[in-house]
Amino acid sequence: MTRFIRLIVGVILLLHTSCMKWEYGTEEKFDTSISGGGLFICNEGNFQYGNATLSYYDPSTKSVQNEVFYRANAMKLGDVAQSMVIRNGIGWVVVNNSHVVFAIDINTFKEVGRITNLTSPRYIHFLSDEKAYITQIWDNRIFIVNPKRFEITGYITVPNMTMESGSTEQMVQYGKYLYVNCWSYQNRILKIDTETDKVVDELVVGIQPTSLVMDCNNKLWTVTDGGYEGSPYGYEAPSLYRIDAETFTIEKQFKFKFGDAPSEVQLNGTKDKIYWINNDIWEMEVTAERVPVRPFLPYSGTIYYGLTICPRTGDVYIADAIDYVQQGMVYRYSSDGVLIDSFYVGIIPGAFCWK
Amino acid sequence: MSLVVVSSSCDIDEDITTTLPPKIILDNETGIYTVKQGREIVIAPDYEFAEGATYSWTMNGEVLGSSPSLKFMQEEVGKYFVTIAVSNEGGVSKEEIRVDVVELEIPTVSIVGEKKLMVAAGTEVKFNATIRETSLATKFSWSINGSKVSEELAHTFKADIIGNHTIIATASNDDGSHSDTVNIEVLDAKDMPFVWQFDRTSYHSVVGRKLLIKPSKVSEDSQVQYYWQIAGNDATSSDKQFVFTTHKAGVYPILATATTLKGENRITISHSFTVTIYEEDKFYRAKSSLSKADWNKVYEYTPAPGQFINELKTGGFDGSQTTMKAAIAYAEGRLNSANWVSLGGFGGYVVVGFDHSIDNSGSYDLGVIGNAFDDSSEPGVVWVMQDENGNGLPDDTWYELAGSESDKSETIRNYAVTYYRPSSTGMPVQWTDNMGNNGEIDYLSQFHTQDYYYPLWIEKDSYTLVGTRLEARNYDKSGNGSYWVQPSYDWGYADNFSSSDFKSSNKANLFKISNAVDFEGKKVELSHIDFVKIQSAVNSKSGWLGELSTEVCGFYDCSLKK
Repeated sequence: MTRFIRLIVGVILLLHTSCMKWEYGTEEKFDTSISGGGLFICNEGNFQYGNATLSYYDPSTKSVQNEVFYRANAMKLGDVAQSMVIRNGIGWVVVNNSHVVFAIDINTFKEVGRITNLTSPRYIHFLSDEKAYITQIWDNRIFIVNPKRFEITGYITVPNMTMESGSTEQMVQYGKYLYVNCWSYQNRILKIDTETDKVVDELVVGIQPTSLVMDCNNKLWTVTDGGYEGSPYGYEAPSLYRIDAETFTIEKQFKFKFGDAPSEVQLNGTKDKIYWINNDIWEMEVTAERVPVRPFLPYSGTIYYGLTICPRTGDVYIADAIDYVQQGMVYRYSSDGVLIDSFYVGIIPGAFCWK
Repeated sequence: MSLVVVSSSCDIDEDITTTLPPKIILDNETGIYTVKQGREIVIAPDYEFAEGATYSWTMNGEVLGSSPSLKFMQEEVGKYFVTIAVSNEGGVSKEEIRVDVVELEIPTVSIVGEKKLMVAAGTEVKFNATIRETSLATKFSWSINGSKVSEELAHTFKADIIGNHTIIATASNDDGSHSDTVNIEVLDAKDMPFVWQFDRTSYHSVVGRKLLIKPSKVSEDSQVQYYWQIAGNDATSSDKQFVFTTHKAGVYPILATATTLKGENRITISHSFTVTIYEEDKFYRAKSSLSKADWNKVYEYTPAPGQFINELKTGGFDGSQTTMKAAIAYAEGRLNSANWVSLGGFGGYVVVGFDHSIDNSGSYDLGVIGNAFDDSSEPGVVWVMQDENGNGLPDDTWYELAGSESDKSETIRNYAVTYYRPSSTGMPVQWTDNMGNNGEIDYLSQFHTQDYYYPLWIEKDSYTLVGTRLEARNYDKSGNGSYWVQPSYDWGYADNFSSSDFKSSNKANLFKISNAVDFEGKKVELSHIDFVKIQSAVNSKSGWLGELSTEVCGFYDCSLKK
C-alpha cells in the first residue's frame, strides 16, 4: 500500500482506510453549558473517506460524547479534521480535505457558519473578531478571513514557496507579529507583521518543524521531525529549538538521535513546561539546559498521535491512533504520570481544543 | 578545587565559612551516552568545587564505582539509568544519565536467487548480492570453494569443473561479518536430469470448456518427444502440455509420455492423469432467503512480500501468523471488521468464497471493496472459479475477468515473480521474474520495522506467484521524488479508482462474470461462480512509499446487496 499522504508526511501516517459506515438519524440536542470546562477532540478520520468526527469529553464526569458534530447537525464533519480553536463561545473546526472551517456553538455543537473555498486549511488564528489567518498545505498563501462574515478577505503570499511545496502550519502571536512554522518540505519559521499582512522575516531551523508554541518567557518552541529516508528535501537528526520571540534568534538547539521523529510540542497551563511526543511522552522545564534522560511516559508500542495538557489541572491527555483504522483512544494522566481515565474517540484522534 | 566563601557579619564578630557543593559538568550535552553491546564506554564528567569530594556511581541501587569517572559495559541491549552523586562538606550533587546500549552494526548480505542449483558444465551463472549497509565501512567479497574471487556485488560463475561448489558472499566491518551461501552441483550435460513434472494427477472441468494440463516444471530440451493418449487413443498433441476438451461428462484416463536421449541412453517419463468432466450446473448452489450477500470464508491468503505483511503496528498482525491457517484467520478477522487486507507486491492474492453461487447476470455480479481514491489505484486482477467438482474447495479452474488492459500489448499473462526469503532481519526482499529481471521489495525502516516483509507462514525460502501483470502507471508527480501518484485504470480491476465501475459510496469496484476469459484469453461462458481470487497486478514501486499492493476490504454478491 503506497497510500501515504504528503499531507501528514511528518508523522508518516499511512492512509489506512476503513470501510466503516456512519449512518445516523436526525439531529440530537446537546447542551454542555453547565459542565464548564470540556475538551474537544478532532478525529482526523481517513484521508478521502470523509469520516472525520468531533468528540467532546467532560473531565469532571469523565464522560465522552463521540461524533457530536454529526449528531448535532445531522451532517458529516468531512474529510480530515485537522484542528480547532475557540473564540467567544464559537468553536472553529478546520476540516482540511473538505476545504472548510466550520463554526459551531461550543455548547450545542450546532453549526453557526462556515468559511469555504479554502485550499487545504490546517490551522486558524484570530487576530481580532473580524480578522483571522488560516494556514494551508499545498498552497503558498496564508488566507486572511473575516470570521464575522465567514469571508476570505485576502492572502499573504509566502516568499520562496511554490503552490506545490506550500506548507504553513501553527501560529503564535507576539505583539503585532505572528510566527508560523512551515513544515512539509520546509525548514523555517515565518515572522508576519499582522498590521501589514506581510512576511517580514524568517528563521531557518532544521528539516520540517512540526509545531510551534510560546512559553511564559516569550520563547518560541518548535520541534523538527528531520524528514524521512529518501526524501528529496533531506533527512537529518531532528531537533527541539528554543527561539527568542523578541530577537527572532535560536537560543538553544536540543538535538535528538537520527531516526527519531518528535512532534507535538505542547505547553502546560502556566507555560513553564513543554511536552512533546518522541515515541515516549516527554516533559521538560522551559528553562532546562538539556532534555531529561527519562520520559514522562514511556512508549507503549502504539501510535501516540496527539497531545494536550489541561491548562487548569495539568493533566496530560494523549491521543492514540492505534492502527489508523479503528477508533482511537485518549489516555488521561495526572501531572505525576498516573493514569486517570481512558476513552475511545473517533478514527485518528489528533488535535485537542480546550473549552 | 573547593570554593570557600567567607562572609563577615556586622553584628557578630566572627567569620562564617561555607563550602559550596560540587558541581557536575557532564562530558555529553544530552546526558545520554551511546555504546555498543559488549563495548566499554568511559563516562568522565568534569567537576567544580570537588576537592576532597567522594563519588558514587549507582544503577538500580547497585554501586558501580566510586571514582570521578565510570567505565561502563553491558552485553544486553537496552537503556540503563545511572546516577552519579558527588559529595563534599557543602552537600551532595547528583545527575542522572542514561546509557543506551545498542546492537552491533553487523552488515548482512543476501544472494539473490535459489540457494541450491544444478547446472550443466559450461553454463554461466550470474549471481547478485545485496547488502544491508551500516554506518560503518563495509567490505564485500565472493569466495568459491574457499578462495576469494571478487569484491564486486555481481559475479558470474563459470561452471567448467564438474562437481560440487560452494559460493559464499561475505560482508564485513569492524563489528562483525555475515555470509550467504549457494551450493552448485555441476554435471556433465549428458548427466543432467530430464524433468517433466506435474503438481497433480487428477484434473476436472466442465463440458465444453478447455482444460489445460500443464507441467509445473520442465527441462528445456529440444530433443524431447511428447505423446498424449486419451483412453488409449492417440491424441494429436505433441507438446509438453495438453488442452483437453469434450462435450460429454465422464471420466477420462490420459497417459502422457516424454522421451529423450541422454548420450546413448533413451530416457522415458510417463504420467497418468484422470480427468473428470462434469455438467456445469451439477453443483450449483442456489441462493435462498438465508443467503448472505457478503463473502463467508477465506480459503487462502498468500500475499507477496510487502511493507504491511507481518506488520505489528498498523498491519494488524501479532506475530503468531506463522501458518496458513493463522494467516487465513487473520484475513478473515480483518475482513469481518471491514478492514483492509494487503496483498503485497505483484502476484499476492487472497481467495474467498460465498454461501451460495453467484449468478452470471450479464451485468455487474460481484463487488470487491478496496481503498482506492483519486490518484491512488493499486489494481488487482479478479479471478473467478466454479466449484466444478462440488467439493466445496477452490481446487477447480480459475478464469480471469477481463479488464480494460486485457488486450493491450503491455499486459503480460503468466507473468511469474519468485520472491526469496532474506537472509537476515531488516532486509529488502529480493525477487526475480520469468523475463530475466530482478529487483526488491524495499525495506522501509522508518515506517515498518517488522523483522521480515516475507510472509512468515510461507515455509519455503522462495515462492513463485504467477498472474497477469498490468503496466505500471505510477509516477512522481512532484518531479523531485516527494509526491507519487498511482492513476486509475479504465475498468475491470479491484482497488481501482475507475470512472466506470468504482462505487464511491462503498469504495467497491463492480465486476461482470460475463467478462470471464480462459487461459488463452478467450471468452468463456460461466453460468455462475463460487470462489473469487484477487491478485496484485502491478510490479512497481513508488519511490520512498515502497511497493504497489492491492488492498481488499470485502466481497459481495451484487444481486443481494441492498
